[in-house]
Amino acid sequence: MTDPSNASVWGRLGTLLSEFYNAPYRGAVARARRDEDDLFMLFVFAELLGIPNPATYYTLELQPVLLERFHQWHTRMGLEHSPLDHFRCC
Amino acid sequence: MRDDIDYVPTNRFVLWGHHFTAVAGAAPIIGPGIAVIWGWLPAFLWVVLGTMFFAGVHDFGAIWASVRNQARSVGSLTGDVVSHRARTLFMIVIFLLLLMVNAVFAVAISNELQVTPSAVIPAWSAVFVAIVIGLLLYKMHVAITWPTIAGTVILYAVIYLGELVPIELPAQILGLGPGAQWILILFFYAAVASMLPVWLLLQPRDYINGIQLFIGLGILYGAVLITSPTVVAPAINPNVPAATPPLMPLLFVTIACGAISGFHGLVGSGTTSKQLNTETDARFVGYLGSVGEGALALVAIIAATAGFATLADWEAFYQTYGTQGTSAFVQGGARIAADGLGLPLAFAQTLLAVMAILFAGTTMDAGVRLQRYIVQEWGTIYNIKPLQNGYVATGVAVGACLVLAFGAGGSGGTGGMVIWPLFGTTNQLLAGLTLLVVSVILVKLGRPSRYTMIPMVFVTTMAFVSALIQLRDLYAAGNYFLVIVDLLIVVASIFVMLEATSAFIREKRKSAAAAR
Amino acid sequence: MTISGVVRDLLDRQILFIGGKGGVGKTTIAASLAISAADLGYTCLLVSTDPAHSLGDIFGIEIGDSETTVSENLTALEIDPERTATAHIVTVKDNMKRLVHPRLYSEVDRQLELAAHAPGTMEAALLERVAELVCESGSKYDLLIFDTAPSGHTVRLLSLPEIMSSWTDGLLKHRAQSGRFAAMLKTFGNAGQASDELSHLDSVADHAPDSPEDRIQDLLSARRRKFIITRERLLDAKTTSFLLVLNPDHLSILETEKVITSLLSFDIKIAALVINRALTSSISGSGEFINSRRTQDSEYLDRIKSVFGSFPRVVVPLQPRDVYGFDSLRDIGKKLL
Repeated sequence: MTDPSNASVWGRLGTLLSEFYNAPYRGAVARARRDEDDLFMLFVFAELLGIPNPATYYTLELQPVLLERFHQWHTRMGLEHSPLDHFRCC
Repeated sequence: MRDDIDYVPTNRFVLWGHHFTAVAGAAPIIGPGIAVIWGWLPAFLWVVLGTMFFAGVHDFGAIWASVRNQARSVGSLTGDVVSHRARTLFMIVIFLLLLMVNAVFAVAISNELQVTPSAVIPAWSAVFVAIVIGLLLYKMHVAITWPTIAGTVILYAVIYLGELVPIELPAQILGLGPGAQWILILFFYAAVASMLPVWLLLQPRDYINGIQLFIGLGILYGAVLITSPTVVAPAINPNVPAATPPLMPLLFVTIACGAISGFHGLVGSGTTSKQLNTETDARFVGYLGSVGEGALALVAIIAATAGFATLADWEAFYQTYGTQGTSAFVQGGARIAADGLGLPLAFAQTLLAVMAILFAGTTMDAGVRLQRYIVQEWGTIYNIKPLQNGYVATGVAVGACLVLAFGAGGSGGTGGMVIWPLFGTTNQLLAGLTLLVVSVILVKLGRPSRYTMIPMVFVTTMAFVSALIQLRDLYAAGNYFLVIVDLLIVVASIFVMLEATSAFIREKRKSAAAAR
Repeated sequence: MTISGVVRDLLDRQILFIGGKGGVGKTTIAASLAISAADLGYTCLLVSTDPAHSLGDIFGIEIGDSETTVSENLTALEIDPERTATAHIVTVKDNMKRLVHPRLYSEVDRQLELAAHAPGTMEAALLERVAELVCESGSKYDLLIFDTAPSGHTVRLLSLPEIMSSWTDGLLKHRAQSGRFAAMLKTFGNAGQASDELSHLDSVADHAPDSPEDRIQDLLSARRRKFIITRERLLDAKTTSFLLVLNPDHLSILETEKVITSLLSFDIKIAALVINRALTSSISGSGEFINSRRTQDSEYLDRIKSVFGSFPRVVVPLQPRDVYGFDSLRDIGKKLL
């Protein structure tokens, strides 16, 4: 939509207004989405946080798919280093 | 706050702008409008000092506490930090406050629409303009600048149109006078507005409101700076009309928003905190938000004291306590704007009336929305299935507000402004409770709590004394309905206060022990 | 007390579950039905879900975790949940290893081994196989007969599809919510830079066809479909029937009552009861001992009639010798049909 590199007054005005219109909602929604995704990650990787997971058989097959997001997720959960021995992301 | 790379940080000024427009309701206009009956000096001092030492601390504190705890509301935090019973009672106080906010603003708007019929068309057009902008931006992905300019121009053009076509509601429909009719219409609007998707009405309307707010402040302050109007009202009024309540403590509850207001804590911890990037934003947004409020309150004081030609005019206007609210702002402000910027007087009056109405209106539907959330939450906690439904919950919320609006003001619906001091009292009590909860959190973290405790003690004391005075006055006036509401609030607040204080002492002891 | 026809009719269903307390003779009944059905021309798959398999023993043939022909029209299978679980985990391991440096392969192995022994894994594996068989039932065989483990396990097994489909529904709901947020973001977050940073979190229209979000959606949806179809077929009385086997004794009757109630709470109805090893009047012999036993059995049969009167009942008399091997199984079959 608006190109930030457009240095004209009009363009900057547009960007400013757009930010004013959208930014807080964007932040709130993005954060809500991240919380939703984190919860899902928790279901799938529960055992790593010491939570027994009765549906291990089923969540296991989802683990490889979510491995990419793993690093950000475990950092947010408060684990400084990867709890997965075999996936040393940090 | 968790540090992560998923988000583009939001500009603090944008965040401040949103918080400011969310909390800037009609209260910083109405409160000072009423309070100058005691003279301009007390109101002025309270606004200035209150904003700096009280409101800033309170608003910042509420947002900070929330941001630190996954953006939960202060009510929710009370459950963790004090006790679950305290939380229940806190929620009751919040609910009652919201009831009063909605009821009193509905009455204020209704009154203003009757006094300034030229404002009817412009005020309602704003809703229409907002919806159109919402559709253009969200559904049709139109770039923002042109709709903004067009929308603003249209709004001002419509104000001119409103003067040509003033609207008055019929004197009697089904036994209801125009006041009652307006109140019903307003609540219907608020209910519908609170249920529409955010992007359709709430988002564009807040946006337009924000623009209006800044333009309005610009016009008024600009006019003031240009004409330097004389303040005709006395610094301290020696001829206070007979039935006016005493300055102490009523000043402090008559002006809430603009000095310190519990409502801000609700908005701050309920909405703003979800939008912030980091804890450090909380100070900027919270503190400067209250400063903005203070600025609005100040200009309202100026309008109410310098907007009259002579002292005699002013005294004639301020014959009885509590009726001046928005009119002082509209009449006085319009005179200043007309003198300073050469705007036609009628146009300026309509303009300011529309501003006040729009601000009150957005607070109303935010208030109804917040009430709905509380009702739904009660439905979940106490397992009352019907309450969990959005429509039912909204109905309950609006129904309760209507009961208050008509119960307090009579079926004419015009006497509702008598709620104002009670509203202010509840607001301050809530602010006090919020400060207390924030203090407990601070003590738990081993931080100094005096900056929150001192305002808390002051505000709570004033609020309690006011509540008791009003109990007496309302009882004497035979308004038993409000007497009961007042009692409810007092009792609930005492409980929360006691529990929170004991939590505070407990935490103090713990941290003192830990320090040894 | 033979109600002919009822059990015969059940052979026209596609799936039969034979349940009952341990030791009442389920395997015998199941095997008899199977061989009789096969003789009548139905192609039949007899499956054992009991970890203590005795199908092979009763036929005198080695059966294993793969379909083994027992006789004409009759194939048998003894499900080995451990093998299934292992295969499942091997698939996951392979997927993971693709994302990880080879030196860490042994770590992946070690970590995922643990999952094989987690509680619930064996049950889930068993359910997996049963679900597969149930879902494919019509295509390869006319009739599928399950010889199940002692009652408690069976009830659990039959309730799992509903529970697990709720579980997958829950997860899918979360994904849907996340997707809605992503759609909202697409409209809000458009300050150039913003959309790049957010788009790597995938989810909305213009992403690569094999994005993580799609894969998750596919996996969860496939699971859900399997559970739902399994449940539907199990609850459809025209497709699936349940037979409970009991002996005319006190504990057996009590146990059967409990099982029926449990199954009813999952909407599963019993088609018929088979009362096995009854000392009926057709068995001659006298003497204090026999008379006492016969009287007792008679009392119990009466009691069964009064308690379970609403269910069709078939009585299979006590045989003079143990039942195993094709001939004696066919004998029993005649008593049933």
